[in-house]
Amino acid sequence: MNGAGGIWGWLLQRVAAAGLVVVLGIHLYVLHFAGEHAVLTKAGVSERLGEVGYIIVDVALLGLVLYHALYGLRSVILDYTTRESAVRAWTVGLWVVGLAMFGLGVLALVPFING
Amino acid sequence: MSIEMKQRPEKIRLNVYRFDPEVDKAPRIDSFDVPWVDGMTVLDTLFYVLEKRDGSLAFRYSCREGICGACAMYINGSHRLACETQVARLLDEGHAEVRVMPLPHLPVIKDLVVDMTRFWENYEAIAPWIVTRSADPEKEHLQSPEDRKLVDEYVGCILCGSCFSSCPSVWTGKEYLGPNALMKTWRWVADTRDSAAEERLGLVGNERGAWRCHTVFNCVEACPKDINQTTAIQGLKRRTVGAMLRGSKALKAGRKALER
Repeated sequence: MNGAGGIWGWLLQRVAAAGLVVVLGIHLYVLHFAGEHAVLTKAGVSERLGEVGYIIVDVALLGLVLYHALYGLRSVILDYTTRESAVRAWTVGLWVVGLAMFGLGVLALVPFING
Repeated sequence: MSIEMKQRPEKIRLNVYRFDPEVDKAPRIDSFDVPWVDGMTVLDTLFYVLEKRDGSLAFRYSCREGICGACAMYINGSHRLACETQVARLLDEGHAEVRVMPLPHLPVIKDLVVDMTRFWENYEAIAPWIVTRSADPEKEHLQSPEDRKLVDEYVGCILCGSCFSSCPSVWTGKEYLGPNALMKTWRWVADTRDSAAEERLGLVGNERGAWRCHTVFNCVEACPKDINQTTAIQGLKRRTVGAMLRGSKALKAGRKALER
C-alpha cells in the first residue's frame, strides 16, 4: 500500500469549493440584482467587464470552476483505475485541458480589458 | 420499535438465491413455503429449508445473536443480519414474501456464501491492533470512560461486510480499502491508547484510501449496527490534512512502522 498522497489536490478542491461560494455569490448578485447590471445589454456587459474588480471575479470564477470540476472528474476516473501510469496520464491530460480552457476563457475577456 | 402482533399466515414464502458457479450456468431463485413460527427469524427460515427441504443450501452463520456478523445478507432489498431479522418485521414493513440474496457486488462462492477475501485483506492492511511506544503496562492498557466514548461506536463493528458490499467506490475501484477498513483505521486513530495515529493516517491518506470516499453514505445506510463510517472517514481526511500541514514525517512511515 502506498504512503500518504493526493492530499494537496483534495485540499485544494475543498478550498476551491469555498472560493466558488464567494465568487459565485458575487457573480449572481451583480448579474441579477445589482441595479443597471441586472439588465442584459451589450453596453451593460461591456461596462461591467471594464471594471478591474469584476474581471478579477470572472477570472477567479473560471479558474476555480475548472479546478473543482476537473479534479472531480479525475476523482471519478480514479474510481476505475489507480494504476500509477494511468493516473499520471489522466492527471496531465486534465491539467492540459484545464489550462487550455482557462486560457480560452481569459482570451475572451481580453477585448473587454483593452476597452 | 416493537413488532405489531397482527394475524400471521400459516406459511411464509421464502425466495432464496441459488448459484453454484461450479455447476450452474446462471443463478436462480428457489422458493419454499416455511411454516410460521412466532419469533421466527430469516436465519430460522434458512435452517428450515436446510434441514427439511434442501440440504444443499449454503449460507454462513455462527453466533445467531447479531455479534459475529457471519449471516449478513441482502434481505428484501436491504443489508441485514439474517439472525436479527424477524420475519414478522418484514411483514410489518409491507413485504408479502421473504427474499434472501447474498451480499451484493461480492463474488458468490455458493448460494448465499460470498468471497470476503478482499474485505479481510483490506482489514489486515490497516494494522488493526494497538501500537504503543511506551513500555507495556503490567496488566493492561487502561482507558478512561471518556476516552472510550470516542471509539465506542466503531468498536461495535462486527465485521459483517455490509458497508463494504454497499459502497459504489468498492464496486468500481478494486484497490480501494473500503468503508470498513477506513472506519477501523479511525477507530485506532481516535483511540487515546494508540501511539501511531499519524503512521495510520499515512496508510490511508491516499488515492486508494480516504480520498476515494465520495460521501455517498451507502455504508451508513447498510450497517446493521448503525455505525457512521462516513463520519469516521471524514475524520481521517481532516486529521491527514492537519498532519500534512504540520509537516508530519510519520505520514510517510509506511506499513512497517505498525508491525507488531
